[in-house]
Amino acid sequence: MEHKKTSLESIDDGNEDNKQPKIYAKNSMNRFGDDMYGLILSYLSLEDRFQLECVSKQFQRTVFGSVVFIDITDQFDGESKTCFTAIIEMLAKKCPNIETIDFRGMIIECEEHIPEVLRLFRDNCLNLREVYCNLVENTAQMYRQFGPLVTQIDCNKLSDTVVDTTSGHQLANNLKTFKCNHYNTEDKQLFTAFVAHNQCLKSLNIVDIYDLNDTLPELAVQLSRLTQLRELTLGLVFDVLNVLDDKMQTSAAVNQCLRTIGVNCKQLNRLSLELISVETEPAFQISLDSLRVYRQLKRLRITADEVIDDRLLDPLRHCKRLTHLELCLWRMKANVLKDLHIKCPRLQYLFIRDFNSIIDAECLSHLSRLPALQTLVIDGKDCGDDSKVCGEESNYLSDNDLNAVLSSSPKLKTIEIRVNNGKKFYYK
Amino acid sequence: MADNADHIDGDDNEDVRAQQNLIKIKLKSSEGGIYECGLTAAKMSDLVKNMVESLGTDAVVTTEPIILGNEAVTDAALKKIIEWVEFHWDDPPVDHDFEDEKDRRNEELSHWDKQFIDVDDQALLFDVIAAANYMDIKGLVEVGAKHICSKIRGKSCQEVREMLKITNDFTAEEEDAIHKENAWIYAKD
Repeated sequence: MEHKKTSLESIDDGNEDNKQPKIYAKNSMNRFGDDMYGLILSYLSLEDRFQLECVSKQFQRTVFGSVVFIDITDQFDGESKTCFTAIIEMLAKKCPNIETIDFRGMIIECEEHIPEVLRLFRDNCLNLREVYCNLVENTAQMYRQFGPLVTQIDCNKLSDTVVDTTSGHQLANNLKTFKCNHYNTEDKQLFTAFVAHNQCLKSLNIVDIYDLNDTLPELAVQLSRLTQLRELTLGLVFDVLNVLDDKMQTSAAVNQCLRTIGVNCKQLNRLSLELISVETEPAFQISLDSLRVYRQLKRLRITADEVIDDRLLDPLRHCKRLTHLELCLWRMKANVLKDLHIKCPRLQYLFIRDFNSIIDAECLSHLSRLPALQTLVIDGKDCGDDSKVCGEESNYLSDNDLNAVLSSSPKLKTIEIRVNNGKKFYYK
Repeated sequence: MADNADHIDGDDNEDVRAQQNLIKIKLKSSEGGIYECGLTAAKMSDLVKNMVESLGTDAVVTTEPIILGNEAVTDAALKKIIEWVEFHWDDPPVDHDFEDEKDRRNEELSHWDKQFIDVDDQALLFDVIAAANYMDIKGLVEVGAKHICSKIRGKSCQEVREMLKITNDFTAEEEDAIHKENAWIYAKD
């Protein structure tokens, strides 16, 4: 039974061994030892750490040790190159415990510095093991030197990522997290190669997928090979579809694809689906019946501007582990939420983007029956109609209604109502 | 490993946790005050959890209170700590499959936690943090630490010293040297 704990009193670590520990005033931070100090200060931003470095020697000693993650943003914009390098070198020396560097916020003009910056960190931070970056063609060079360190990539198109056009080498290997903004028919082969080299992928986000009828069947096969996948986000673009038959076919393709993924990716427990319609008048109802095979699912987010079947959430009764549900459904009707307590009895967190102010006292009383619900967030900021703009004064979801839900729901602790960029909280 | 954790936190287990929290155990502060706390809530403290597990639940319920001897565990601090664990014991378990650690660190405190930790008496605040650390309640240490960090954010060194009653042991020259070295960060805005 070993406890790693920090001492309550500062031990004066001066030269004299027999010196008694000093007793400090109880309302003074001086009472804490270095470990506790470091722990408390570990929530400061990097900037604050530098600003406050000279508060005291103990502060200086402990304030940088907990920096394990650094985000290289464009904060160095405008600095001369030598100055930039000097700052990075100082950063790397002061924060020897950095494990992860995120270059994704770095502006394109600075990206040529990435290899140099990485070298400085690698030489000073022995625990460095993860690098996140955007990938465009001119940063491909970096891979030859630092490839194994890179674990997360954001890119616009697969072609930037997968193959180095000059050498023909596969660039992105052994990634954990990958985000790609665009995917269409042309990417099918590249994606096959990508999957072959990234079998350990845990998180995948493909923002916009086009040509669904053509891309989805193959995509499903490839995703099925990613058995380590924990988290998946798919943005499905329902592009111009004039014939009803095409729409039916697309809907079927979506369900078939989701079923294949669900059956094969057994570790997948977070799923986010974005159903994006490019037409102004969607004409058919989306159902997501295949969600029933996601037995391991813990968190689900559905965003849709398509028409939603009232029974959209019915398949969730098979997802017995579901604890978090987020719904951003542009055309949602209150019926979608009916009997949610039967479908999702373990739900702890529910977020609803209430585009059309459909949530009323009756709807809330349905939600209050969710037996495990602890947090309810209703985002109503885009209610549109001025009379219903939900300012503090308005009667959209009155305090009485919300307090009634809190008292009748067995586990509900917090309701958060977001209106006009403000947040209002209700809690037990 | 993820699978095991799943089973432990699985369907049946939630009911067991709720049942167990109906069982009350007694905790004794370093000042001698004795306070009741639900078993599941009390076990948010790894220290208490280990004691309960080595002594056996029955023994803990029927016999002497668990003594929390560290001097930070004052009556007032222990009362605050019990309030916190009684509110949080049925929080969703941390999902280790994800790199949530980083997200959680950056997450703002909940409204309830903010109000809970915003105490005027700084000695009590420090006692709560130190006692939570002694009792090994990581979530509460985090709440305290985030609160302090949010209070000193954007403040000057002198303001921070005054607020947290920290003695400045730098000479003026040393301080100047650090300022010079960090000039780039001040120049940023």
